[in-house]
Amino acid sequence: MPVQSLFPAAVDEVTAWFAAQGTSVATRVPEREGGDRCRVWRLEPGVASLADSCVSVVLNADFPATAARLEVSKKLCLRFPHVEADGHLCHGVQPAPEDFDAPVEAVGRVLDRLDEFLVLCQNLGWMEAEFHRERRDYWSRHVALGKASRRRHRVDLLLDIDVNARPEQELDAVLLGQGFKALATSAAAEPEKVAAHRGWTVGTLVRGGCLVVRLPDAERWTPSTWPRTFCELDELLSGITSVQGRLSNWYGSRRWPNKAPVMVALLQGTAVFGFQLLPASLPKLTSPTLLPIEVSRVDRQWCLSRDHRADALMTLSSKRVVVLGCGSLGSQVIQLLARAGVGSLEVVDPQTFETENVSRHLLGLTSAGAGKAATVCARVERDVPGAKLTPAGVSAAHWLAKLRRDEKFDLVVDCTGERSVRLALSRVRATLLNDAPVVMAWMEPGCSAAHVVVVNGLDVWPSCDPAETSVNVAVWPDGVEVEVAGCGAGFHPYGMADASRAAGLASERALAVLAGNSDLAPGNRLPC
Amino acid sequence: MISGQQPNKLSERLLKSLGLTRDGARWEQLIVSLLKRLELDSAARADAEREYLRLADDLATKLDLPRHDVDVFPQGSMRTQTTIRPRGTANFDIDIVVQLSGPKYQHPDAEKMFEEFGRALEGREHVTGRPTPRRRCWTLQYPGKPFYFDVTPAIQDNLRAYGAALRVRDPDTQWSPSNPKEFADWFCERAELRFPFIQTVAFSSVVEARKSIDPLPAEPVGIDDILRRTVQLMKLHRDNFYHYADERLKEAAPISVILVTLATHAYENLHRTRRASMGTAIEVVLAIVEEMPKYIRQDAAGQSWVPNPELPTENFADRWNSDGGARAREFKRWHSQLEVHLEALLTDEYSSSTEDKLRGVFGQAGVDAWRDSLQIADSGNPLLKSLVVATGAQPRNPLMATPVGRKTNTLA
Repeated sequence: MPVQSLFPAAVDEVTAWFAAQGTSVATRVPEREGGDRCRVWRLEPGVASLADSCVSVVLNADFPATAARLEVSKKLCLRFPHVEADGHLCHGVQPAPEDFDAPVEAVGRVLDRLDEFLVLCQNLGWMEAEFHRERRDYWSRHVALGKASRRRHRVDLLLDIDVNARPEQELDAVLLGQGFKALATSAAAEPEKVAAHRGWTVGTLVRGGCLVVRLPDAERWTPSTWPRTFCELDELLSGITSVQGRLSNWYGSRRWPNKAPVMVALLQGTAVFGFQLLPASLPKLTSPTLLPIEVSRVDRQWCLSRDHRADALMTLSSKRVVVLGCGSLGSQVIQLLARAGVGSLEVVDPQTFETENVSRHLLGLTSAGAGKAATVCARVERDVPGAKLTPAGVSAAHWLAKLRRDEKFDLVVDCTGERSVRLALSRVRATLLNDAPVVMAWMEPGCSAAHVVVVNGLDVWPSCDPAETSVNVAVWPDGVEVEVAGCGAGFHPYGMADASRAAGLASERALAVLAGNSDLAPGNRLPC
Repeated sequence: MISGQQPNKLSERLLKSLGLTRDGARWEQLIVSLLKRLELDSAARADAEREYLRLADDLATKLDLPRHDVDVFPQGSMRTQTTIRPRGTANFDIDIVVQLSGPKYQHPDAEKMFEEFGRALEGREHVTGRPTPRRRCWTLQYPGKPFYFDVTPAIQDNLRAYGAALRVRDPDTQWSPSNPKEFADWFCERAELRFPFIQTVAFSSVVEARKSIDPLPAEPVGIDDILRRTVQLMKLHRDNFYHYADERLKEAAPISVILVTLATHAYENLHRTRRASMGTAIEVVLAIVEEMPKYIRQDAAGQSWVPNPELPTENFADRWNSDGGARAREFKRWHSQLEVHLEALLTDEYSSSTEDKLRGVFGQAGVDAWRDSLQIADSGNPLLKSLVVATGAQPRNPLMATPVGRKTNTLA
């Protein structure tokens, strides 16, 4: 069945052009058309071929919104760079607006790139450089093409590792869930506990292991250098660590239970390459089989910074912040601060989560009736690795009253929006809080405006609490608040979109204070 | 990989095939003509020489030294006559040593000496470009010239307190020993060894009036200069092999001084043990390539050693021992590629040799030389090219080529 093109005129023009070139150049292959493929031509070998494989030009149904595709034999994947597992040759030519008017030229640009590619492929140095440059992606192709044995399937690895620690680490590993993933951790806690903390179910109780070695930055990692056997990997690791038989010693040092995940992970910069070691068919006579696997890092540094500017994350990780109020503003501020990397957060809120706040709170229906502070803490802790959140299901006043004088905080964020809390904070900051900086954030009715006041250093928040007189900008007639049948239970209508803007503003200022650059231009300071 | 029927040595395998094709002589000619065209030409060489003499005069004035206390001479590939043009538009790197002596440099401070020297290089930026410091030398770009200078200030170390005739600034250890002359002499002595199948070519060296300045070695490099040609060939192959590599991999590429040292050992040993059995220059080249890894030593602690033959405490392969073995493995990879490429190339009939095999060893320059020798004008696949032209698309500018996959999200 012919494939309907989105832009038939362009496809027809190219079709006519190919027909005019004659069959000595390209032949249309109707039997390979179908699905998304509108037209397929096979270029004659004299025109273009790659390692004796013909090159096909394919127009997809949305050509020229997407450039013409090039296809070669899928066997060439990992033999030549930029060839996908299905034979798709990624030429990198981007579609241009002019292609709609000149579709033949658009195909010409792709053929020109093909010409360049074929010349470059004669240069092994170029091919090696390309394989190495995109080594993570080619490793994924290698993993996808790898075959496990009949009895064992592939297990991919979640790696929870402190990359700044030793260049070689021997970790414990456990299978998760259905056994298609394993977790290896360098944390002091057992891997089962780490998994439970993250909300992952542990598959079986057998304990495996993972040997992690840092691959030198200058190490080439291409199809021509990948270790394919246990011995080759052992040789590589021995070379890197200067310990003869590094891998075989480690593997032989324990008796691994059946089905235990036994893995090797190689770190190079931000890339990780992994192997699963499948038990030898004839133990002591043959070596274990190597199976390439995908490795995803799940450690804090990777999840929160991709290893980029890790020192800034380290600084934030050491900070201790208390957030008063875990409502529509506070819950989001807590999440934003935790994801930014604040290491330790104390959350103070006495209320339970009620269903009418689903529209503007981090929590949803599944948390109805649960304590806000505890539920938000548990949720953020599960989602943000390494974040420590401590809930206090009490009011801000109560929490302040019970605060020990030797407790030190790097920052107090008030998201209650309550005058009583601001009044209390202005009076106890110098004494109880040891002059810790205070960020007070609140929203005006209907979230028409949001305010963030930073009280830092010698600043003092006036004890008269001039929020309404000197800060707020809106004037509201009576009756804006929607009344409900309860004492003080009215509400201002606003949604999460409004609260998010306020939370973003407050969090940004809070992070600036933590980074030590909270000073604002004089115009932004409150007149005393 | 090697079947029982084949001779198990690369050189033997190749020579068998070369013997059949009788193309050995033509390959030899090609190799020599190609390497010659990649050397620094005589005009540029003379220009460089003029410039470094001028530099010496200038430095003496600025450093307030008598002219005889400033000695200037080339080191590295310029001295060993194994220059090879860097790929693309990059300039020749000419390494110059400026040896400072006199009372001022009896007890010098390394950093002070280096800084002062850098300041003395200033003042002629319109010719030399801005001097930029490196670890041991200052780089002068000489904009508009086909070369740039790496100028290393060195102090005479008469007592050899640091182990060699000269010492140079080293940011980590203050001073490092250096003996560029001795090393180059060691190489040149061995490069003069001749195999009996070759007629020795007489040469004349230029004698300069001013004794304190060594002329750039200017003797003509003849067809019999097997060791130099092999070194050039290996450098060319290495540069070609790493041309597209990213910076980290480039750092791991085998450095020239290691190639020179290993090849020289191999050449000397071949001359000593198998002089009579060698029939052609190509045979010797292949044997050098084959033998050279033997001269990488492992000490008892498992450390790799390629000692400076004239300063045995200096290990050219020092960095191989602090990188997890990456450079050692990379050397093996490069070396096996060189063998593969040479084999793929030389087992072909000369006239039917395909361009990609040539490109593997010699890069585009090799392809051009081969085309010239066969008087082939065209390049690439003409059919595909004409097809591109037929579409009306603007063919890419070959100088501005964007390699496939770059700056795009292919495979991302």
